[in-house]
Amino acid sequence: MNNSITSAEELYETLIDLENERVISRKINQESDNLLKGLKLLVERFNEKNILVDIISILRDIVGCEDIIIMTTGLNHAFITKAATSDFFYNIQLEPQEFFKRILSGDISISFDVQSIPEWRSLFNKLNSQIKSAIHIRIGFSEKDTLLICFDSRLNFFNHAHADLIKRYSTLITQALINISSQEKINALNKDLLNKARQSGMADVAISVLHGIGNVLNNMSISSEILHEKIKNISLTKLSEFVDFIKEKPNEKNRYFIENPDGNKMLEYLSLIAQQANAEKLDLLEEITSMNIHIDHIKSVVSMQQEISKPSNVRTKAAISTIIDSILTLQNNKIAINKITLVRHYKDELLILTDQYQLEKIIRNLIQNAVDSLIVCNNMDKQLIISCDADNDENIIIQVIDNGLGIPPEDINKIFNFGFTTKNEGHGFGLHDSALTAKELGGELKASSKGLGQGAVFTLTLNNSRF
Amino acid sequence: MEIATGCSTKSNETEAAQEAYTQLTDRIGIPSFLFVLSTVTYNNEVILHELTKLFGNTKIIGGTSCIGLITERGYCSDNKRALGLFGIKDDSGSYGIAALSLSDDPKFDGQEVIRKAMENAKRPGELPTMILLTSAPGYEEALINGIMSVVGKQVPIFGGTSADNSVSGLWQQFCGDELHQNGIAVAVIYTSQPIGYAFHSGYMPTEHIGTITKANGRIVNMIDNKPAADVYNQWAESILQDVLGTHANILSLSTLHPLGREIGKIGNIPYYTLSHPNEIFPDGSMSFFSNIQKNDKITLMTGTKQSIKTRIKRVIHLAKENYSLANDTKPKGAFIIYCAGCFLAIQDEVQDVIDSIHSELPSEPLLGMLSFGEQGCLFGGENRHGNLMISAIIFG
Repeated sequence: MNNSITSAEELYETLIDLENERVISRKINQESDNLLKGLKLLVERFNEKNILVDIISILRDIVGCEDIIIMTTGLNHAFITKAATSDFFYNIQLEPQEFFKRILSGDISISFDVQSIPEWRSLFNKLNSQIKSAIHIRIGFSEKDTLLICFDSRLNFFNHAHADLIKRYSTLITQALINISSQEKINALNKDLLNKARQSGMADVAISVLHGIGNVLNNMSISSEILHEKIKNISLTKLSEFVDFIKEKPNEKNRYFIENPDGNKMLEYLSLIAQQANAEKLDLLEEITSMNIHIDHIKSVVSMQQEISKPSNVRTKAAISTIIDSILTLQNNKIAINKITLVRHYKDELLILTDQYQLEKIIRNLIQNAVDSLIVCNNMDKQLIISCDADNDENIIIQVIDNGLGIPPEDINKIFNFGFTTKNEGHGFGLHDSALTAKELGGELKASSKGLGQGAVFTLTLNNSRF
Repeated sequence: MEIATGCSTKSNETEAAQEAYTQLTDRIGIPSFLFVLSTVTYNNEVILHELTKLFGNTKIIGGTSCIGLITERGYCSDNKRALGLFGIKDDSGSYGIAALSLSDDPKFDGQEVIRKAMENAKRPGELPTMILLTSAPGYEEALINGIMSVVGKQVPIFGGTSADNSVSGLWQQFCGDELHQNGIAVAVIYTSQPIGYAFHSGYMPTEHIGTITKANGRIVNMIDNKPAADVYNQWAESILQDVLGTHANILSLSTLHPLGREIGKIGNIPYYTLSHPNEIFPDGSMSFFSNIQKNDKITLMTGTKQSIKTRIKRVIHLAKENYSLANDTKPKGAFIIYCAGCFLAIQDEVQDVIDSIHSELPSEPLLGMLSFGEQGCLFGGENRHGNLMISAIIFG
């Protein structure tokens, strides 16, 4: 009899165990279903503004309580409602005291008497009928202190099983908060990018305008130089020399002007005209000089604006020929006046992805140096060659070649040093800056020369593999 | 959270307190909360005085255990003398204690003592993780109802009715350095980690079912309109035959045959709280160690010495399973309440009980109380007082 009782006992105990396992398993499945529901919502509605409210609404239905809110810290460190299942809970502001601080340190509180909680006491008259029981739990969102609070108007509604469920669900809420925060950051970055693009576009327009003005000013400069020369050499000013010559060296041909009263008067008149012409010439020269000063001033203002308006570190697609041609346009008059032969070896279709303005700065500097070198050299057949090509390694190679002054061997290694210059009015920044800029663009600037009077070759190599 | 225990059987109270204190504090230092188990063979005033001096600000409650106690070291008793300590160190948790002597309104006493304990924990209005208590025998149901009227039914309540070595009324309850003879000591425990628990009888229902037709408190007069003792004797295969019609203590006779009241079902399997028959009277009435009321449906339950020894393993296993639902970490310790009546029935085979415990908790610190009644939270979340039952609480 003892054996059968033992067996029956064991059977009973086993049945209890099995049923217990079944109950636990059902509970786990139910919780898994609930979590999956929330997860599905999170995935489906990743970018939506109200996802937080939807998630806590699902949790509210699962828990069976009346309301759930999420509070985060505002600007003044008070807690404000970020999301709530009832509009009633918005516009609440709570100063954190010991209770909230304890929850934020990781404790979970199940309250059956919300009036005991200092933070809620001040609002209790307003909220009395709404909340009697509450669960407070910290949400693990690193950017801000965040609390999840469940409310019910029934006394003693919440229990530890609710707290466990809410704790498990809180990871979904954390993820929703992270999603929202990421989306806000993405939106801010997009806005910033649009602004920058807009500014960049505006800068493009400004630069284009300034470039045009710069071109015009350059032409004005040249014209005013020519005008200065012409006025300086104006033929009318030679009249005073003629009058002096008549007075100092009278002869048969010019006796009329000396001996004849009318001729004398004519000579005096011519002298006066000559003096007047001279004075007017000086006036005109003074005016032109003043005009040149103003033109130079405008040029420096335009140059300054060009410096600050160009965007930096923005890589755009550019045709190299366009860049080089625009620089050469500014140098055209100098090239023409100094009878420099310009040779271009590049194709229109050669494109590069780079910071266009930085590249322009380098090429402008190289061409300017080459032109300056050619101007001062004694070479009769001055040549400036600009070439551009791509090699097999997807590098773009731009060369500025002149047969001007050249670079002595002892200077070739110093040519890019800061402050090194061979020009009287040079400051030694240009090539140094160009070499650094080339590096920033992911390229390299090199110089070579066969020596003094042998010209120079400047080679700019840029990697174009990302294009 | 850290847990440690200490125990001693030294006859000198001061040395016993010191020995137990050293064992515990060597593991975890000074705990936040301490449960003290002692037997009535000690002068517990001295014990408490020593312990409060040693532990300083630690929150202390406790009570007396029947003839000995259990720790992870094994059964601790020497000539029915033992002192055991269960310490929890939990800086992120909160603990509150309170005690009072029972009045003629035990429900009110339950309300009072729980409010005081929550104030002591500085957590007014907040549900504790669990409530641990020990009280004098007689009014456990009313005390639990009083507590639940304040905190609601959702907080698990565990405890052991304080016991002595001979059912002589010498039992005691401790709180700090207070000692009560007929009181209740309560601790509200707000742990930083979830707990697991189980409360189980381990007896099996038989086919014998009846209805209480006359009862008064813990005395049952009639079952199915017949004298209770007669009905019980008939159901239990005449185990009371020799004492029917007399006034007799039947505790040891009835240990394997308590009455059960169905509280709920797990799936389709009913579960019960048990009532241990204590005495019979010449008029056929019977007294029990827990309340049975008129119109209660009762079932004769049955068990064996083997099942008494092995069911503690089941209860601890269930508690661990519940613990693992909310925790990924290993348990840190356990508190067990084991019916003294059952323990006395298998006292000579106590090592089997220890082995059963170790099969589930091989090295975790634990303290087991041998009580005159058990309070716990049943499968369906019901907080009940019962007899011949086992409670296990797993801390993480």
